[in-house]
Amino acid sequence: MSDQPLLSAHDVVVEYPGTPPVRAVDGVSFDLWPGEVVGLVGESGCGKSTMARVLTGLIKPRSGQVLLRGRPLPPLGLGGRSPEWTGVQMVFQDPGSSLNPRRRVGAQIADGIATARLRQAYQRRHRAEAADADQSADVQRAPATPERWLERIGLTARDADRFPRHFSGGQRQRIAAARALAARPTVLIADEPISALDASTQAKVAHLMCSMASDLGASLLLISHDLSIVRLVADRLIVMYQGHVVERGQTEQVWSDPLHPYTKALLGAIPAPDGAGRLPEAAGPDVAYPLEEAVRPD
Amino acid sequence: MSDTTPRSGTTVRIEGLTLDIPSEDGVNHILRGIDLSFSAGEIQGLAGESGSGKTMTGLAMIGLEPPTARITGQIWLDDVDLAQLKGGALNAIRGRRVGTVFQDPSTSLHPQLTVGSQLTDHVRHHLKVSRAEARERAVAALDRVGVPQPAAALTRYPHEFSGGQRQRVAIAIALACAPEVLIADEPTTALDVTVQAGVLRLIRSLVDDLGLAVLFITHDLGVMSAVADRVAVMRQGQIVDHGPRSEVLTRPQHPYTQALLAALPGARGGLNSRDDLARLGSFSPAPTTGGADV
Amino acid sequence: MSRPTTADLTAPRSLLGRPRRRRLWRAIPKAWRTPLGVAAGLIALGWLVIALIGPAIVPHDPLAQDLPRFQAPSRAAWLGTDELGRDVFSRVLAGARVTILLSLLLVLMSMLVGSLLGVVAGFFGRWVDEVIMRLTDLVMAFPTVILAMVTAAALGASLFNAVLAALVVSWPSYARVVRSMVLSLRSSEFVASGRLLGFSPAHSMRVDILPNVAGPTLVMASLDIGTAALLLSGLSFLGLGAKPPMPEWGSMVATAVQNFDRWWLGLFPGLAILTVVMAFNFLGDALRDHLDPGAERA
Repeated sequence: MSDQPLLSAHDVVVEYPGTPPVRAVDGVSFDLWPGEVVGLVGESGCGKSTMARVLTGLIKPRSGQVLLRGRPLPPLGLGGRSPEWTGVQMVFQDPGSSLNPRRRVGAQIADGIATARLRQAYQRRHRAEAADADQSADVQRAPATPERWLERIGLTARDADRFPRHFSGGQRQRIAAARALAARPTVLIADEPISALDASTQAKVAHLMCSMASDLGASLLLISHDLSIVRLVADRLIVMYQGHVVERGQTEQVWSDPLHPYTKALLGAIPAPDGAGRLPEAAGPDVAYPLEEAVRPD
Repeated sequence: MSDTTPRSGTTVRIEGLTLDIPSEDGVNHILRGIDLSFSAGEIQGLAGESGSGKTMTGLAMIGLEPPTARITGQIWLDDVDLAQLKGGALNAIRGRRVGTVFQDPSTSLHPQLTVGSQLTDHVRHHLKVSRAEARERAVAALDRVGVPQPAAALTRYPHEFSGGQRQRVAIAIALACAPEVLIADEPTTALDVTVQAGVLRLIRSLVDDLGLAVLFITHDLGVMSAVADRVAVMRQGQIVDHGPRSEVLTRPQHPYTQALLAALPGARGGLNSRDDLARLGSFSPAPTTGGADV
Repeated sequence: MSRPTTADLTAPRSLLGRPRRRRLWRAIPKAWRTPLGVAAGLIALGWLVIALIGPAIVPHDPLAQDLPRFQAPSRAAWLGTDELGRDVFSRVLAGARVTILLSLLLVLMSMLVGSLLGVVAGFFGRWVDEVIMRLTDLVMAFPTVILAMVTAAALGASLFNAVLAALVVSWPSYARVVRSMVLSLRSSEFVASGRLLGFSPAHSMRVDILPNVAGPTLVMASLDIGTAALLLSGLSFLGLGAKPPMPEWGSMVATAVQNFDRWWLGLFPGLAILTVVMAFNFLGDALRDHLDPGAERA
């Protein structure tokens, strides 16, 4: 790992308008290092999806900063995004709207490939930092055409001429991931990419995303409410609750020895399909957990 | 659990249930001969992935299949064949003897009526009791499902409750007329996992205390494992695996169930470490007809 | 049966579906499969043909005043003659050109004007949106026919001005619908992912947004043809459109009102209006039902 985080959030605060304003994210900071897979987990309303949109610049935080290799990421406004910043890509939750229904999937994956080329050209022109430049060697390893990408995700070259409606939800999410990864991002942010899929497909899609990201040297932030799958693929876990990070650490540590009461409740509530007939632990109605982060003593 | 003395001896027996929906391009066989029976005091789980027909089985039981659907077979509630009932006779059973809880309480509850009026209307419609008595029943039902301050809750609107509380209210409505059978279609799927746990415990306790016969429909085998006494696994309109929970989930006979479990974290022989993931292998190019996606 | 997700509700589902070309190709024969659709389609097609070749097939010159006045329908004049001795049948046929072609023109123009303003409002937002939307409010605050009458009267009675007046009252509905579609598409996931890939606003608009707006807008337009025909003949009926001696259904009905005992004067142009309006409405309904993805099998 290098000495500088790839993507980092500093004290991010996001408020949605309302009376009073709703504070969706309240002072969240974390780093994403090159090549790692981080799971950002939490339940509805914890602010994890808002963080995804902040980290990609789709939402401008009320305060705080997002840095890509130490440089502030500009929010995506009315104008287009410069090739300089297309190293951050995102996969969304809903397989029904993650692809344009009226374009052939081949053309949509080709968009990603074009983005990768544009950024390479940009970096050559601007003598980009070494870290980014050395990635150009990897481009050879990346599939070079939409057809090769489709084969990489277990579809066939012929599928390039089809429209999204011809594919199942899991297939669409794989195509959306291929499109994002074809842009050769340094960071891929995946917001609940598998939660709308059938259970038997979830782990497989998650595994495919992780392995593609790691093949291409991209870091992956996998956002999910489902700890049981995330913990199988993530190197580190970050647990969010009501706009705060309440716990973070190596996956195995958090999974087997959670510190924060909320993390404990979250882990205890996961029902395992083991046939044991064990009812998961239930917290009483409307329990409030502390918002302070439980810090693991080193 | 299932050996608790049932309050009544209610038994539901589905025999040879088929459901076809004609379409432009031919007939869609949604259900291809379902046989299933469950009785008071037990939770019959019905598992399956999207498109397996599990929800349609539940809907057919209460006559809510699409109007163009053609049904054959019998759905016995004791000695009444629900598949033959129409109109008023069906309405008299639906909500009275068979309660239903759906996935999303924010759409199954009326947003502009108070919880109290929804509960009491329902009770008075079926039981022909006085307003005061209906209110008492409503309070009791809310109390039973663990809604705090049930009397005060009557005057509140569904949006004033959290997701988990709303689902409890929906369960209270389903239970208010003391039905014998409860059909729960993905009742916890829309809930957070920490909230889900409480609702699962509630449903289990209702079965144990009231002797309900429950058809619990879910795609989540983890949830299934937590509450169901018996498990039926559906695929493409048929039940492919059926038996006691521990049998089906730990020693599945059918290859489909085996494959399902092998792809799940936490299952016996499922995904319990990173290495297990690698075992899943990669996606193989398959014909993209939009069907199964395994 | 399926495992619905909350995300299904947020996606612009109504905009998803089949690519247009193939959809329309399939839609037309399918929509015709209902008896109503067949009848409506044949009637609409018949009137279109008459509108195109009408002047070539009329038995009499629709302007010639060479027949006896006020003849009841007979073998010589199938639908009778009017107060100036003109053949009603010929005038009804000739009137098709005016009403139908002008309705099509009107619908096309209001679709173009309305969509353009809607796209601009939805895309630029802020004060541009505010101005355009308040303008639509202003127009929609008045009863359609009255506003059209006032406008036509202010412009001076002519067929061209009637179309202009009808345009003034009918563009806002397109603008509003298109604006809301653009807004919901702009926040949809595939548009966001395109923007992250570096799509410029114009490219995003051309590739992701407009193709998804076009289908529903065309359906809306097809539903509008009947209304347009009614509005135009209404204006002519009031003397604000076609000028005598031009054969036009609305003004023919107006003449009939002054000669109430000659039933054939009003009945036949009236029936013409009725059949055109109903045929196009049914056709539009059939098209909408078919193109509405909600009606499609999953």
